[in-house]
Amino acid sequence: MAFSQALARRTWARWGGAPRRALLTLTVGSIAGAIALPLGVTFWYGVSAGPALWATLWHVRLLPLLGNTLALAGAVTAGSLLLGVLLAWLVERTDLPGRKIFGPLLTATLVIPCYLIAIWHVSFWGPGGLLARGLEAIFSASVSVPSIYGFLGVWLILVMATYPYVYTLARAALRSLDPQLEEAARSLGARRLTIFTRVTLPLLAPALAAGGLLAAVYVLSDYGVVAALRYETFTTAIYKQLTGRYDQAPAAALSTVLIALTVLLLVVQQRLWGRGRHYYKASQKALPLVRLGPWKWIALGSVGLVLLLGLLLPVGVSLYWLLEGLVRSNPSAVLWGASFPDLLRYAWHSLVSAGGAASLGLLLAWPLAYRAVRYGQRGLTRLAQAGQALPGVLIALALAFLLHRFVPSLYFTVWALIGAYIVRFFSHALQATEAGLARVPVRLEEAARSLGHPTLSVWRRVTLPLVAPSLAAGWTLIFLNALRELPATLLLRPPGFDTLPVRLWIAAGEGFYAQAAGPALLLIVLSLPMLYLLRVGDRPEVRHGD
Amino acid sequence: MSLVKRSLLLAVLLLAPTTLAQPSGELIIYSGRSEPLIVPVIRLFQQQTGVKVTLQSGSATALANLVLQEQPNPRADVFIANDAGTLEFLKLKGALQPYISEKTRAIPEQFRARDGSWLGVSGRSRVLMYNTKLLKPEELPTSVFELTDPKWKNKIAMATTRNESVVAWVTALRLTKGDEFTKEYLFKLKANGIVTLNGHTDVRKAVGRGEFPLGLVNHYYYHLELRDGSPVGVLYPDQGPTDLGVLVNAAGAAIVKNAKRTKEAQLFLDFLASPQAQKLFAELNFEYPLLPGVPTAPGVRSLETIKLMPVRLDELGKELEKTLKLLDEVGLG
Repeated sequence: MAFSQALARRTWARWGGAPRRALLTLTVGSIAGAIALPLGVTFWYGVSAGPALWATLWHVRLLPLLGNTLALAGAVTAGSLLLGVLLAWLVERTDLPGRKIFGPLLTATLVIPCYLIAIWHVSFWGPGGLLARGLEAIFSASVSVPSIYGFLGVWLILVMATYPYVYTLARAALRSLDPQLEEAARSLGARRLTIFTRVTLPLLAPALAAGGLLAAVYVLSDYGVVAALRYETFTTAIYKQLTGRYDQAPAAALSTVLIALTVLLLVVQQRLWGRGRHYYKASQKALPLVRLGPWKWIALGSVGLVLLLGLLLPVGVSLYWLLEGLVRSNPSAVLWGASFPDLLRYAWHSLVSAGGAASLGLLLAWPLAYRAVRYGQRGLTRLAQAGQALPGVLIALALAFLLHRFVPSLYFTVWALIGAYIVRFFSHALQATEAGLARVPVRLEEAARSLGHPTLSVWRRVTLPLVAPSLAAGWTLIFLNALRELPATLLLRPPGFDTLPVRLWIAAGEGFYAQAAGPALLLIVLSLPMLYLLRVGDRPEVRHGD
Repeated sequence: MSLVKRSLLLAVLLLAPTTLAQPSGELIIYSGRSEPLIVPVIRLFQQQTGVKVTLQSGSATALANLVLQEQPNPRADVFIANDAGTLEFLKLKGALQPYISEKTRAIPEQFRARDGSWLGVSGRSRVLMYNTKLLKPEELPTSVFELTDPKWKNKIAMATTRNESVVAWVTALRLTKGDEFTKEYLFKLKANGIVTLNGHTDVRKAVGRGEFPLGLVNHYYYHLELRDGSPVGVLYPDQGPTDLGVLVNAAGAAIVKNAKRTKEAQLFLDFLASPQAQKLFAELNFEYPLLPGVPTAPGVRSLETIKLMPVRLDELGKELEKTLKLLDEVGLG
């Protein structure tokens, strides 16, 4: 007995806590594996589709789809780069009136899910829409409105949805520029344009590349906007294939191509991210603002136009439809379950699934983040971020396949939905937890322990309070993203478990805009905490810690 | 907030979903029909019988796939499809449970499965609708085979080929005209710039608003658009003495094999065959009631006056997979 105790003590001493680390590695490995599994399965499923299938796809589908998708991704990236940089420059570097208000307001478009922006633009510009009706009422003759459907419409909406990525990063980069560099250039006789292209732009390049790639990845994963505006990309093609055919091999094969494209972009993004030029910002003096002069009005007009298209029009149109639904009581309102208790039920479903995903996601992210921060082992963490390469449609495909094979009792349950959200948004959980843990000095924990506090007490009194703000931010981010998730929810929701996005999507798809307005507005209201998060992100020093 | 409170909150958030996991004691229906076309019928059923219904709406094929995958332990009790082919396909895969009663027997034989595996409840014919502001009656085509003519380039809308009514129509073309002809025809339609929209509701609205002069739809979509006040007309193609006729398909329902609430499911099928339900399909949706004696809605052309394609509904199911393969080879959106 005494001998075995001594042996145990000696073993423990020799291995120095290695068993604990092995256990941690095991846990981390299984979580990362589980999160990355859907990506792997879809990829493998698609690759193993027979050559005959690939040949058919190649002849019939792939080229047009690649053309459509890449053209859109390219055009949207270019558009949001231009718009994002222009807006950031106007807000940061010119004497634009009201720039203090416009600054944060220009990111507020992120509060509205982009498929909602698309739906309301269709109901406004579309044939027989509000604009056409209004014009007809004024001129008492039908006036033709240019079609919102197709490439141009999709492009416009997606630029509205993605420019905030570029804008936020470009603004932060503009702020951190050392004014002395530009002053030096000016003193050497360079003109304003030369200064911009030779000094400012190269310094902004890393931020722009990162923002642009975010926009491109977004375009690849978007389902709602392209579907609402009748444009075919990989996501809509896969969705159609999934819902309209019994054989799911073609959907998986198309998914493989999409995954390859997305992973390629993400790898490039990671490379560029690390390449930021670091230099010492010697002067804290702010640069003199550029005087816009008469250009002021054009600048104000364009900022106003962006806010109108991205924020005011969608909110205004949904309010209009809500009022119309209330005033003209429509028998179909009953039919659509647009009554208040029904609305609350959908909201409850949304809250539960999104909240569950946020809580569970953070819980699962903890060991991974802990291992990454404390032991510097990030390999498995990378693996677990794979989910962000998967558009919602693909996650649904992969989870349906996996659950049906191995855990049929979970197939089409709330848990499947929560699982899909976790896979999709796990990288947010990881980043938040890692950022939080990085702020906890190990010495502080050790000090507490040396003062006789047991492990649990150390965690409770030292670690948690320090990590909590990051966890709260991460929770909110996952929650909000899951709340507005559309394609995976459409495909995986259990019977009777409609969420707000699902309801508004089905109603809008049938043209019952008044019945889509209630869930839409409720979704926007529930997304308002996003504004707080954006404000935090607005000040880069807060986001990056000290 | 104390740690205890915090962990309680976490526990609540984690456990809340389990309480919502599955409704019990309710009839679960998977419906592949457009939601507004089926909800009134289900409401009436709930009122009359007191049986609670959970409705899952979606694409008929996706839900049929789910019915297949969930065997032998299905969640759904009843499956509703917009196409007899899909129902027959499920029957051939052994996923349905036969049910014949006095009430279901009142539906004519050609509209239900021979062994009672599925029951047709409402009929629809494949027609063309047009915008009367854009087309004069003398400009109209008389046959679907004229739609490959360059004069219709970019002017026709149809529902996507993942829509089961479209698939059934293509199967009927294959059965009557052969695979090669059908494939060629679809390629020509594609080359002629036919536009495929998300569903028939989109097509009828697009034609009603004048985005497209012509649309390929089921007949009741024309009536629904007319009721909404749009300037639309209808055209029954291929009606000449030597012509092919139009396809008449049936939307229907079936009891899923191993269903947990068989009794309620049978009650529901009986209800669908009842005069009240049949009247709803006829009056709200402008479909053909299949129960003899129930009149079609005013303005709807009765089945007896239409020349029909010589295709049996059960053949639509047997040929389903071949049609899907052909459609994927054409790649018509």
